Amino acid sequence: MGALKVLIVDDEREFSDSISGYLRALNYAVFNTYTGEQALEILGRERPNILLCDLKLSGIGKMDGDDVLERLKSISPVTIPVIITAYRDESSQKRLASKGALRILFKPIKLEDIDKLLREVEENLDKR
Amino acid sequence: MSIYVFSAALTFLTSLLLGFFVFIKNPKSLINRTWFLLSGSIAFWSFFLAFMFASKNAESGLFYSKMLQIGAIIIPASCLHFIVSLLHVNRQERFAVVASYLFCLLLLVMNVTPYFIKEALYTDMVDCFYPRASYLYIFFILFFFLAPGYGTYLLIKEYKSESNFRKNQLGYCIGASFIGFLGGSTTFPLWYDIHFSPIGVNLVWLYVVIITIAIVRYQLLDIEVIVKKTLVFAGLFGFVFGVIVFVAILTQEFIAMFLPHSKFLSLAISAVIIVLLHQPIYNLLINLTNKHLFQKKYDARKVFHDFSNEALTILNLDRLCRITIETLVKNLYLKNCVIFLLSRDETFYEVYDSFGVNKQEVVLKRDSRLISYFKLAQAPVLYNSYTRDLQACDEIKKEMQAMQSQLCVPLTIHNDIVGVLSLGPKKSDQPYMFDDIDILSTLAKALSIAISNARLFAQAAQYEKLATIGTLASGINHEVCNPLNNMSMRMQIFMANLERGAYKDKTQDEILAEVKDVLSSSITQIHKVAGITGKLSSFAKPTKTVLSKKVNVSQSVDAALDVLGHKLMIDRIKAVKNIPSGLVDILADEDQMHQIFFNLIRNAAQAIKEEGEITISAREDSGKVKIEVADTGCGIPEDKIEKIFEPFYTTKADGSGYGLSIVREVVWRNKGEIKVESKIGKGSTFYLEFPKA
Repeated sequence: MGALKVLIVDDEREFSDSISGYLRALNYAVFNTYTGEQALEILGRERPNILLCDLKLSGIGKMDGDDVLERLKSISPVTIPVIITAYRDESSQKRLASKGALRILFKPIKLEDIDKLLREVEENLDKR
Repeated sequence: MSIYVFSAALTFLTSLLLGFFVFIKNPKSLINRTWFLLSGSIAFWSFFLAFMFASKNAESGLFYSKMLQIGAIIIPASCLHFIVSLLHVNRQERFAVVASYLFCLLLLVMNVTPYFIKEALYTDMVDCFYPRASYLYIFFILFFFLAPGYGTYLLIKEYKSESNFRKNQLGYCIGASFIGFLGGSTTFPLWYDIHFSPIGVNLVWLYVVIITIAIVRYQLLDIEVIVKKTLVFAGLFGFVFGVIVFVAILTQEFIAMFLPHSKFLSLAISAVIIVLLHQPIYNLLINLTNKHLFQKKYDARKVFHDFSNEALTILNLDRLCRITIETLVKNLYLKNCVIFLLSRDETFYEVYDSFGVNKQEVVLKRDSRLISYFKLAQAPVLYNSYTRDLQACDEIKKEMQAMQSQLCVPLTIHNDIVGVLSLGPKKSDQPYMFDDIDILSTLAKALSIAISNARLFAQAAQYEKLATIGTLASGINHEVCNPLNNMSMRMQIFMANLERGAYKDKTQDEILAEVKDVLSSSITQIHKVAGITGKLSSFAKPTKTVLSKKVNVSQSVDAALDVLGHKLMIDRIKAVKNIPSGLVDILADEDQMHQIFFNLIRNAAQAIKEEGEITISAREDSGKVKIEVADTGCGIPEDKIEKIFEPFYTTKADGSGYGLSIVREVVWRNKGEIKVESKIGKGSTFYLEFPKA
């Protein structure tokens, strides 16, 4: 089967790097990027199982999590999108859910929530 | 022509004019009306008295006597009525007035019969046909003394319990009544053939004059202006008449020396001289009366005019009330003045501002009689009124005492009593005049509107603050949560690693190094959060006072950009700073400068909407620091540019239109200047100027 492929996209490098390193140590195949454009590229190339994406991203084209979410289906429909964000307003949550996000994790994030999430995805994959 | 004729004519003239002008001044007031009646009856009496004193036969003497008697009968009753209306009446006294008028009627009927006045006989003493009394006349004499006597008794009773000022007024009334009636009564002896000269008739006009002095100096009947007119008119009339006569006689004599039959010519010359002298004489009279008889009184129109100009455009409630109180105290020479306003939660009336009283000592309750009265009547109340219209009832008087108030004027907005303007006694102890109350009522209406505006403004400011907080909140949330997340993640990961034994094979030094790394990164993140929350507090502080100190413009702009940076990033707006590093500091309130830049940059961002640039530049120029905030937004149309600083002006559907008016106020408060230039489609630039530190 192979290790679960995880793509982490967040422009907060401190966070992005530390969580990637941790997950790699747990033998996940982790791809780590800071911009939306690069995220799309990796999505197309690697087709990861799960995408952990921040809403606010910085990059040359100023793509953000919303844009990535929208393009996801056409580029890599297998990827399960999970949004991580600091925004707590309800309208964002509804919007993201309607765009296909499985779950929304609010910063500051509990590590065990990420653990649970990954295990959930794994189980679902095994079931198939 | 005897002196009696002259006295009677003078009495007629003065009482007629005075009564007339008093009536015109305030036809609705009871006091003015009863005085008119009294004066009128005295005038009526003296008119026919003059003719009687000039009578050349018995028939005319009798006729004029009967006529003057009509006036004489009414005088005592109207005098009592006047006195009663001066004082604060009760039923007993009112009954007395009605009774006296009824008795008048009876006497008038008697006057028609021959049993009242017998006949007129030639009397040497007065060189005319003087009337003689019959059987029924005695009733009139009794009435003549009883009715005004009762009135004088009432006056004296009231005299004891009044203020010094009122004492003076009443004193003059009592004294004048005495003289008038004593004088009048000297006519009676001759009616019974008692040889006593009616010299008192010469004093009756003195009664009128004394009342006049009371009016002039102690503002009885509230008719200074009337008296001025009367005096000037009477004086002028007499003066001009005298001059005409004098000049006519002189020229006649002069010309007669040369041309014996030239009456017409001399009269013509006199007339020319009078016409020429008329105007300067008139002016002289007016100046004299002004200088010697009337104290400097405030010009009511000027007070209102000044007040309107200065106060009504103030949107700050504190300043509005302060200026109102200062204006009133200064111009009316008040001992105290208080403005009560309904509290925010509408449960009580608080002392919003005051002068001359201890705030804790004055009280106005929400459910007081005063407020209930105001709701119904919507008119001011006086503690001591000379008309019944504005007089406070006893309960309200007690409440006014608790407020140390002499005059209360309601402040109403849309039928709600939002406050009360309370004025204490004047320093001179003079009462409040009709003019005063007129002006104050108008002023109160204007003040109510100004208060309403100020409150709306304050409310809009609140909404704007909340809107601002909304804008800040999302930015802050993000700025705070990310560092917290970074910190939290690193710590959790370390603990998780520890737990799963990832550090089993590491040396203590290596573990320690990892720990130190986590800790120092966390410390950095903590300071990041502290920085953001610190910047937020400067926007939440109220902006009433200005704490001037040296403020670095660059840092101030950075503070604003920090909190807005997030929004700018989302909207893809580039912020460019063109501030030389060595730029001199400005002297201003630091937090308020943050607010100014925050508002301007946010406004710029809103104008741009998406994809644009905001440039903030600053430079020193002739002792001032000039700052420009330019955007590439939609611009402001030329006809609207004047308006953008007005409160409530906005083109945003959800905007309160408030931010820029606040910005300008804050800029001015910090001794700065602000102006704007704009072009539709190109963008706007705000120019600011502040004094350097």
